[in-house]
Amino acid sequence: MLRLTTALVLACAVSASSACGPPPAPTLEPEGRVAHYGSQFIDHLAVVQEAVGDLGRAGALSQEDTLRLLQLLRPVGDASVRLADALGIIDTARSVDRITALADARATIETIKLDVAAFLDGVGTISAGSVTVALDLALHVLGSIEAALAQLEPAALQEAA
Amino acid sequence: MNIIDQIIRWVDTGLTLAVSAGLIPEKVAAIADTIARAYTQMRAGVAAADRSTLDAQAISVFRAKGLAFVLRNDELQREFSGDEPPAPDVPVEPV
Repeated sequence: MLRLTTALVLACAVSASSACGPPPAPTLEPEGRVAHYGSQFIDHLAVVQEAVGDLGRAGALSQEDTLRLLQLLRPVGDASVRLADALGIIDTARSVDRITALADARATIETIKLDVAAFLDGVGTISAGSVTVALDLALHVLGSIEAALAQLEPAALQEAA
Repeated sequence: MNIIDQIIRWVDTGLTLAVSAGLIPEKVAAIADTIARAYTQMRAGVAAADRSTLDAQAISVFRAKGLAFVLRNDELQREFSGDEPPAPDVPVEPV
């Protein structure tokens, strides 16, 4: 139990070091900034995903639990691809499609939040303890994604008008 | 120096020569003003194109990372479910 918590916290700490790069280029538009933070988010999750695999191989997690945690992570990846697709439309479309894509992007972010929460629940069940620190970093980046997404709204509405 | 700056330098030289040759300074100033405005618009256009490219690149990278994450997830799930990886799509040689 403790090993799982420790490994996940460690994974996030390792992930944190990669997040300390330069801030996004100021020339990026909001859709570019959402994508930039989205990439960081996926980087953190990829580290967590590998940690889950390592724990499964080391026997710290049962095969069943490892598989379950991996299954909980997968929808986050799917949703990220959908978010990137929506951003692509926002970046190129010059019509009401932008508004639709923006709504899709917002809905996808909500889905990602639910997926991450489900993963955290899964980790909590397995560890039978209070795993509150794990994935904090990914969630922090998710906050940055939401902030950048909010900046997109006036621009998208202006374009569609 | 990029091509736009080079053209502006040539135009500047041309206008200086025009004044030296006796062209009315007001007319030269009007031409210079028009060129300056066109130049500003061109620079803004180039900057916007650069921004657009950077945004598109950031979105592409994000999408690629999302896909890589999903593919890796599939790989790990196969590893822990005991499923065999899918057979590679190798063309069969006719006998």
